[in-house]
Amino acid sequence: MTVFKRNVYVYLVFLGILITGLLVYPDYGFNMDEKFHRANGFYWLKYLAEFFQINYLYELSDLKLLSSSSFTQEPIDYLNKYGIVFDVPAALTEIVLKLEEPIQYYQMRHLMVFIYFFLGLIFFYKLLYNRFRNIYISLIGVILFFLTPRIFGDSFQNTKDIIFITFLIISVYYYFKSLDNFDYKNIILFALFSSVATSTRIMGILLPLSLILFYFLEILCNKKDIIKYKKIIFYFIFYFFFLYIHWPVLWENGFKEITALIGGGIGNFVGKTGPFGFGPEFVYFNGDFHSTDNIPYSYFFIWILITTPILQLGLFFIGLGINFNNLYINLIKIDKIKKKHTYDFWSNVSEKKDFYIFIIFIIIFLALTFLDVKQYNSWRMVYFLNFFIIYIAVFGINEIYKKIKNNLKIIKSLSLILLFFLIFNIYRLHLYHPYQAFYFSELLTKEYKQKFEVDYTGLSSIDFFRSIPNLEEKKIKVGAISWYPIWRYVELLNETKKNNIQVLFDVKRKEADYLYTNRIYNDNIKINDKRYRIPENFIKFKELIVDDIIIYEMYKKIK
Amino acid sequence: MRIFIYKSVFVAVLVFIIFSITFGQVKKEINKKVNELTSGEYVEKMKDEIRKEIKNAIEKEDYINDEDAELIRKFLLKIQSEINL
Repeated sequence: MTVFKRNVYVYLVFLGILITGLLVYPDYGFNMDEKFHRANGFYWLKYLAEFFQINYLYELSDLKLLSSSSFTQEPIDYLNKYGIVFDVPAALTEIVLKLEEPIQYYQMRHLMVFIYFFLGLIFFYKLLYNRFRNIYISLIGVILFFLTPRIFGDSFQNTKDIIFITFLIISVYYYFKSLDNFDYKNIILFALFSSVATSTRIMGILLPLSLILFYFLEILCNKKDIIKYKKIIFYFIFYFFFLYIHWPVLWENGFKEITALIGGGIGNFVGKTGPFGFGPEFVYFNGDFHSTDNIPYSYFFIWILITTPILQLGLFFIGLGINFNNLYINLIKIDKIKKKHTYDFWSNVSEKKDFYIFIIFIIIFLALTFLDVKQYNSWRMVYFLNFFIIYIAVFGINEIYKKIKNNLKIIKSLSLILLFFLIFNIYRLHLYHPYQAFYFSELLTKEYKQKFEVDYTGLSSIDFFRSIPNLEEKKIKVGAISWYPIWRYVELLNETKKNNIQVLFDVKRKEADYLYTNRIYNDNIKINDKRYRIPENFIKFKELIVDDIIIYEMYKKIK
Repeated sequence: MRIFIYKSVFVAVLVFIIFSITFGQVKKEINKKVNELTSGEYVEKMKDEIRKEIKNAIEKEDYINDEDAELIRKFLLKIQSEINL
């Protein structure tokens, strides 16, 4: 009975998540990266269709690819370096479902992102259960992750970072399984998913590197572990094999391309231009404009602090503190106490899993902070750190639970506090809907929130288009007074509106009827705001403010 | 051996962090200033300032005082005579 009841809780939580996702996914705006990811999908679908000689699919993909090009984005030959694990299935689904209206196929993509994320949440549950062996603690972890606002908001439109998080979670799950049982099945699955994570974001390279690091730590303590080298080599053979077979960009130039991609990725990572060397030159952070390759050391720390809800943050710091304490004790013990266990930093597999998450988080965080990493768009490119943050928070909960598990009164009191914060978290998500991707902590003042960039992906542009009066009846000129390619999403309008709208750029914007700004600039407007100054013949027509932050502003010409 | 490795890694990371938050921070601030001064926006701002100053000069009745005007006149004549040579 108890087992069934517990399983019911698992099903209920996941059913709740799924229903929530299915209900809200059509509400989200459109991310400016979606257009090129769609093009990337058709580019590779066309390539695959040609490779396997499926003429019908080749012709359809070619037509779709032609329709997805835009003068606002780089040619697809330049953008095609991303993996295909989301883009090609999305392109294929669009063809199979015969979706012709842009609004339909973009919403289908939003649903698909959410389904991938949902899959990631299932594996996150399995991963937590694998480590903590407690259904309730694992479920709390899943809920905390799902309710992390910036992840929640992105799980309906971010076709890159969310997909990466999903495959990172699945990879770590199979890494944990291989720690339990270092057999060929788990190694192959770990190799498979870590290769998919790598093709989605080059940062996935951290998975094979972490395997080497932990192998090194093992043989430092126990020379006998050197025998594992055969399986490590086996992992790498399969890792490169899977990388090669599912990433068609490698088919042409083979492993030369891998080294170029990794080199370029790392180059971009440290602020040099690589194959992925694009993005804005400036980022608005903490009330000032900074060059994206010269961001302050406090960048990630502040972004994590100000965009993570107090519940997740509090539990994370508890877990982090315990981890640091364990590390300190282990380091002290090395010299003074005769060792009771074989390895220096863990005494069993569970501790090894905790140490893995903790040390990888610390290494990535220090690398991001101190290695002059090129960053922009808040910290979305490293949102995968949320996986580590929530794991460490759950570790904190587990440690607290171990201390109080015999005291039912305290358990009940703490559960009530947790429930209160979760309800508050849900209320805040509701308040931000559908702009949870731009969430700021409840602890910030109104003034402080103005010191950061908000709608960097232009999610609000569709709301702007919908707010233009009489667009069905007459011709209207619009322009964007920000660093945003507003042309990209004119296609979302219906045929009449599309024909009636004219987008003006640069100096011609003065002649527009309505101006849109999401307040994202690629200049230091504190020095000179000439390029983004609202012309004098315009007045504010509408502004969308959520939780004291301005999402976008709309201006109307008065003469 | 392994204790030596742990200590070395710990010290190296610590030194790197200390170096970053001291010298690295100064370097970042210098870079920021240099970037600002060499940026397109700054050049544009300077151009605007010069235009504004020229306009001011045109609008003012006496932009240069008599003494300076005399000095500049003599200086220009001197230059002219030397160039003619």
